[in-house]
Amino acid sequence: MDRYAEGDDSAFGELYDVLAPHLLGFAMNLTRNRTLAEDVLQQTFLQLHRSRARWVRGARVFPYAFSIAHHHFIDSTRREKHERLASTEPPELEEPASEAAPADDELDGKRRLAAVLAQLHTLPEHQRVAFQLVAIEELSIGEAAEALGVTTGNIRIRLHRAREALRHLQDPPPALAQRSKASP
Amino acid sequence: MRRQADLKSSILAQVAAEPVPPRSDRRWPALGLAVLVVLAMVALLDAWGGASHAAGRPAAAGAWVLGGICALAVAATLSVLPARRSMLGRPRGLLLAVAFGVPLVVGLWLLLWHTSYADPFARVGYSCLALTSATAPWPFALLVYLSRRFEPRHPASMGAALGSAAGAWAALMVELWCPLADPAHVAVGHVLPLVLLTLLAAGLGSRLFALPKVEPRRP
Repeated sequence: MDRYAEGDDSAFGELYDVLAPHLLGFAMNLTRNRTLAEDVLQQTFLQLHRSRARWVRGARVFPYAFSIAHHHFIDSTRREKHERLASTEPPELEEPASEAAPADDELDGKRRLAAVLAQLHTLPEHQRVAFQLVAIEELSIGEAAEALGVTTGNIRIRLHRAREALRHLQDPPPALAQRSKASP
Repeated sequence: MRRQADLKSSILAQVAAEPVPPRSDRRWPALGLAVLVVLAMVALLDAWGGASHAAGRPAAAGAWVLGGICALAVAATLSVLPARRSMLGRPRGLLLAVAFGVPLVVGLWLLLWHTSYADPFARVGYSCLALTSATAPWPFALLVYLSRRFEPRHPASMGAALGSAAGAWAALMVELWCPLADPAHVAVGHVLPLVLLTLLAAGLGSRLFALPKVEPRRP
């Protein structure tokens, strides 16, 4: 981004190649809708382009890009909610590609990840986004805090709660497991 | 794969259709603006009657009051300006702490000195309110320029915090002029304008720092 801000137009294409897979994955997990995710991606890159003249030398691009993407997700969710209230139609959600529920006790890595991703949507939004940024997109705690505009302590708390919730979902307490087995 | 390539070419086409100039050096314009702001604030203080208006206040109390407000203004400014290597502002909690804290601390700091000396005269505080209102927009403009970037996460909090920090600098100028520390006067002339400024700046911030809307095109 620094190269692009300095006037190297070709750097934007390279920036796209590096950033787009991460942003699209992030947006897909947030929206569960390919079209909406692509809109978020497009909006994010256009905003990055608009930041060119005021880009701070040496600033990290990942937290900024993820914060824009998250902002657009919130914005589009609000807009969709308003439209849905007006039209009273149920939302169209696409199942994430990795939604398949694990069948065996011995899950391989991919299946385990798929199970986590499927259960991720049961988490509150603030925990889910923090978990996605740190555990899936591999941002540091500081970068995730920067992207979401909160303190690093807040991110740690969100992550801890998200991990606890996911652990409970994957290994429910014995009483809960027996109850779910008993029910048809 | 083809869809990905289409998406990339669509975004690059949109970017090419809306050229943005490369980054320019903003240090000299910022310095020029800072000098202009100081000159404007000094001119306003002079127009109100100058620092001699505060002659009735004991020198030691005046020095403490001014020192405290100056430290507050510096701390508030450093807390609200974004980190050097970031495009994003400070955490929302910190911004809100500055936005609410500055009027509160200014009020409490002035009241602390209320018992240490007798006010030389009594006023409601309309002149102080007017002087703060006339002085604060200048440092606010400078702070907005210095933090000239988008704040996608909480633009109103960013605006409120910058307004509050600008208010702290305006309060410093007003304390150079006003010798009074009566609670009613402090509330009307010194705290109320800071609260109003913070609210106004929050409204401005939601317009100044919010991401502009762009209509996405389908590839």
